[in-house]
Amino acid sequence: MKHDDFKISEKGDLSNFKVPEGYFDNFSLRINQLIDETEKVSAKENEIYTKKGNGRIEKLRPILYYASAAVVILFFSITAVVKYKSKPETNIESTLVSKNTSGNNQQEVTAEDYLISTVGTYGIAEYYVDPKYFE
Amino acid sequence: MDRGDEEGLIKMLKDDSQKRKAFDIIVKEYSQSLYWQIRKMVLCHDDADDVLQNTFLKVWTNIDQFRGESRLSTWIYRIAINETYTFLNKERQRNQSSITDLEDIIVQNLQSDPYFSGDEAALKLQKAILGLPEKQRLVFNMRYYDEMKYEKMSEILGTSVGALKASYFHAVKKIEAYMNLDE
Repeated sequence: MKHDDFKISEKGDLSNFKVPEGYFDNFSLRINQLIDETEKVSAKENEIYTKKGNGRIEKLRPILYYASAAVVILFFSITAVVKYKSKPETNIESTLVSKNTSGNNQQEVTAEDYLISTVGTYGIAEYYVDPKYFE
Repeated sequence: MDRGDEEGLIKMLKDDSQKRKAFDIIVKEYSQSLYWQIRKMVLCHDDADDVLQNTFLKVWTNIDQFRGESRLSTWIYRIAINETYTFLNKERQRNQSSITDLEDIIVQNLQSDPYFSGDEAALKLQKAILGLPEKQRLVFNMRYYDEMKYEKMSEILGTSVGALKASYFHAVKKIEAYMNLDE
């Protein structure tokens, strides 16, 4: 038996199932009424929601203004502090390199030269000699 | 309704001034076939009526989202099937605490349904069909009662033709076995 062609018996037809008289004739009208009612309800809900929403916004408006002003001030303060703190320290190497503008030769001043020029001889000795050596 | 009519209907649906008229045509065109599709799953008229109403409400509220990727009839059928599943799941949850299975409750409701006039044999067949898993039941109903082509079923259910044929075959075997019990 090919299962595609299977028919159980006449017992299986839908003639046992009935619908109220005129059910399908009235269904279209009923569903249209239902849609109208649903749309009315949803329109009302939308109206209430919009009204509620507007009322809330009106109440919150001054607070929102103050809050946004505070956020702006805070932002600028933080930016200023961060900028101030992260200001690059004077780069010794770069500042010590001076260019001899009169000629093509560059006179390079190293960190060592800088130290020698700023501290006394005694200080230099202390700087270079490991104190442990004398112990 | 052929493809040309459907295209005309879709155009009407996109036009706000004609939307309602187009929807009315849809209701008139599909209400009977959808009703019977749903009725075969839920069995009782009142339940089928509720599910059918929900189906058309969903069609109306979601019609703007229909992009024409499938045929309009397929899309509407899918909504009806989903609504039927939703209904059955809700009923199952509602009767979770009950000792009786949902299938038995459906049969009991069917027996008391004034719009069912089947004899014992008809009731036995319905019991046999109710014993099938939901998807198999759907496939069986579509094929057995509506003689729907597997290709169309595949489009609606999103299942391959081969799987549908196998599903129908198994359903028939189970029903045959049930019907032959005590005979």
